[in-house]
Amino acid sequence: MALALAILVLLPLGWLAATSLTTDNAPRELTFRHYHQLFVDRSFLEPFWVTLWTSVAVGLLCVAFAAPMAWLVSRTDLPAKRLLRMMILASFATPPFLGAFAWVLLGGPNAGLVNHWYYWITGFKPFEAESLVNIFSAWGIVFVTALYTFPYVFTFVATSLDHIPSDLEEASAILGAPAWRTAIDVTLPLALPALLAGFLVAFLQSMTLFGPAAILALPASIDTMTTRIWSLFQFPPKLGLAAAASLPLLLITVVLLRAQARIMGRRGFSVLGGKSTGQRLLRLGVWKPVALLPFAFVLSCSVLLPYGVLAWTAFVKNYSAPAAGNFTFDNWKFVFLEFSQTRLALTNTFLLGVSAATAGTLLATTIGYLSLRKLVWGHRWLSFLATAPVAIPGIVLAVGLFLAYTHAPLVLYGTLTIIFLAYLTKEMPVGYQQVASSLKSVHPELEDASRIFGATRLRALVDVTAPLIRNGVIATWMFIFIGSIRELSATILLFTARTKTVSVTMFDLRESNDWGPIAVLSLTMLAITFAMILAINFFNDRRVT
Amino acid sequence: MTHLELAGLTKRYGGVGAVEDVSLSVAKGEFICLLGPSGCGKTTTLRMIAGFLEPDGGEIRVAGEVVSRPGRSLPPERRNMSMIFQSYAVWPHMTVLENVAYGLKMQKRPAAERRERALAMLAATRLTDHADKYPAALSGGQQQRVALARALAPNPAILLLDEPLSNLDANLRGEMRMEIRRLHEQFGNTSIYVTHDQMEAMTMADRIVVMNGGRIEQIGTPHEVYDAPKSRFVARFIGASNVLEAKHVGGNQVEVAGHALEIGRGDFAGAGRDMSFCVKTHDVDLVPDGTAHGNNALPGVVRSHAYLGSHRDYIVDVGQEMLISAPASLDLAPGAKVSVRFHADRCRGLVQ
Ligand SMILES: Nc1ncnc2c1ncn2[C@@H]1O[C@H](COP(=O)(O)OP(=O)(O)O)[C@@H](O)[C@H]1O
Ligand SMILES: [Mg+2]
Repeated sequence: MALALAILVLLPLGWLAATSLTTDNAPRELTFRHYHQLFVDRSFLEPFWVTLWTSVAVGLLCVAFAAPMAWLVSRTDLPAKRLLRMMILASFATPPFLGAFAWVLLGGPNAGLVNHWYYWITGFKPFEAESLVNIFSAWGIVFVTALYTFPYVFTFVATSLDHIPSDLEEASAILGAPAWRTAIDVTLPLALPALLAGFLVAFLQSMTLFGPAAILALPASIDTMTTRIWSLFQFPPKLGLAAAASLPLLLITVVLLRAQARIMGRRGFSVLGGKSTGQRLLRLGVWKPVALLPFAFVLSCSVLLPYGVLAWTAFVKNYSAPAAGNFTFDNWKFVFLEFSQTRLALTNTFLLGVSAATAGTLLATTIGYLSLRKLVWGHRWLSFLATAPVAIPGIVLAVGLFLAYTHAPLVLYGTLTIIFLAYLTKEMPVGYQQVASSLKSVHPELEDASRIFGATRLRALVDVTAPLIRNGVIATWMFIFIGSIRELSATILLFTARTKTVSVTMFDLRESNDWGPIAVLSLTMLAITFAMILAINFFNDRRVT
Repeated sequence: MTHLELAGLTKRYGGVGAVEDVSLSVAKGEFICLLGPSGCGKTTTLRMIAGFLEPDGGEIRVAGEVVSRPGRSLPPERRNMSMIFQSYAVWPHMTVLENVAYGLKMQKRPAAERRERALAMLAATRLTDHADKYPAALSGGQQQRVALARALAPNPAILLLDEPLSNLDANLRGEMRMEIRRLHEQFGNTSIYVTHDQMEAMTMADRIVVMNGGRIEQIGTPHEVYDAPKSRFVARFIGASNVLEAKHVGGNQVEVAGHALEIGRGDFAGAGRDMSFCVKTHDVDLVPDGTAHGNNALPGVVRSHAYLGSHRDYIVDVGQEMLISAPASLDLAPGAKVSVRFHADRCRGLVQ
């Protein structure tokens, strides 16, 4: 078990390091040439710089919007909080590359609907006047990525605010501080670790995402690190360089995740467990509409407009034409009945999702049980290995897997198996965390009780532990399934003509501007995702404990 | 007749002894309390008896047969014991009746008999009305009674209880104490009860085992442990005692801050050596006249007092601070000079 896990995680990383240090062609020799080239070649320095500044911008933008939003939800009598939180969850659940597709339809310089409305209102003519927005730009990436990463910051900060004991703030109020002073002097410093941690996660997301960058930056001839690595895989492949270019991403991720864990560990939740009941909510009064503005803006951009445009595009012949005589079901027929590529992709995606979810759940449950109950020697290593892939960006993992499994003895490239391995590895941390948290909620004494009354360890597992973690295990399966059917960053390097998935096919359809089918596939993916989330909530609500 | 025997039982974690050289003989049907502060090794001892932990040294025998020794330990499911856990550990996905019948199911008794016996246990614990409910619908006290019924249903040879009342509030605790003792009288299981609450131990146990730092300090009936503590630790832990530092002069005589006192009982260190003695808070007289020394008394100054209705608690400084229970009618202000008079037969010398 431990060995399988170690191979799964360490083999790709080993190949990554080895390839980055050897020459591409026989005879293979040790070389630092690839790293040297990273530092002198402008075609690497520029993407690196673009990646860096756009990621910082995404982080700052997320903090600038999400922090006040979290404060408003947690500390004021803002109306419709449940609805707002649900819509933020919806942004969270939307694959960023879907958002990017939708924003191409909305913010493309000439045909984009937003620009369309702009011309219509102002009376300007397309191609003559400057368009209102041009999503094909570095700022376009920043905008779209921020739309789908701000929920991280929001969740971190809101959770932290919810756990700050109200007496800490009341102590300040009773000493005569007005509400805004309390917010700045007491609340802000206490929420700062969460804010910082949220910034780091937003930064990392932005740095390692492939979808938005590929969809929005490539047409504008801008490269980021992820698109650059991808281009190294186009013919003729430059594997040594790709491996070398992957390592900085891996290194930065590891360092920042450690920093984040330390920030959260040391101060972030040190006040957790304090009394958080009976928060006094600040009255907004006439400011309510103003307070709702940022929510209206952000959620329109992340959910309402994109979902709207996708729904529209899925049912019309031409998305930028007027409604009259435009409606059609052809796109749906095309995707599900006529086009063999999409049918193959749907089958592949479904197969991959089910197998990764099933294998991942089994593996995560076994590892979780063995390591949390300390049943085997080296259980610490088990849990470390299971959570380590969280620090491996999808595209880096794909480079590693590609390198590891294009060689004898295991040639998996070109099979669904290699994509399955990528999903399994990538989703292992999520699965493990899920299972671990439900196992932790089962007090070990519940099992002990079963044993002292005469049950063997296996019997106790069947009678007590299994029924109690069942909901958690089902949720784990669904989380891995959701994560797998939307995967793009790793798949994009590993697919071949016969192993295309839905996400990759959408990427292809884009080349031929088949927006109708893209919208149909997007809606399908969203529908499955939300159905699963609803099911998870349904199961969680029915918990017996 | 010895039923359960611990001989030199030892358990170490990373070289540190959690339980060291614990030896104890328990007679059939006896109710034993393991009493000691948190972290003294009570749970570790209990879990070794149950078979969840394997000892690093010593052995455990039940009815003469070894069930645990280093490297060879009978698994819990084959020991015919029951246990009540601090967390109750009532299974939330089974009804009350299913919980109680579980042990019988493991014993492969016929279904009809299981049901009958489980219902009888529910009647004994006054839970009949709740048989088909899930535990989440019950209060803490009721869940604890489910745990009791479940533990007693298979009629175990040995019943183990790990601080079963520590999660209940004070009123309920008193009630459950009686309940557990009543059920013990009814079913007569050999019981090992772990607690850090000396009141619980005093009121329930046939014998108390006082533990400290992984070792046994004293074994005795509640009366023995209360009246004749063998060490400073036991005297302090059982409570209501003052432990005073003194120097042994010889014979029954000790000296405290230049004043001679006579000690009636206990151990003596040997002439010229330091030792202690203990005396209960209500076994000394507080005399308002600060000049009446001699005559087995020490001069002192009142530091503070608290009115408790039935009596007053005074903190008096006699060079060392003492807690003294005096009649409620005696009203002395802080700073008042007093004498503290000792009765030789109420003072007990301590060396350990
Ligand atoms: N699994 C363990 N690993 C390391 N130390 C432990 C473990 N279990 C108990 N200990 C230590 O052994 C000592 C006794 O613990 P325990 O038996 O639980 O005490 P009690 O039940 O009297 O409070 C404590 O110092 C505790 O820290
Ligand atoms: Mg304990």
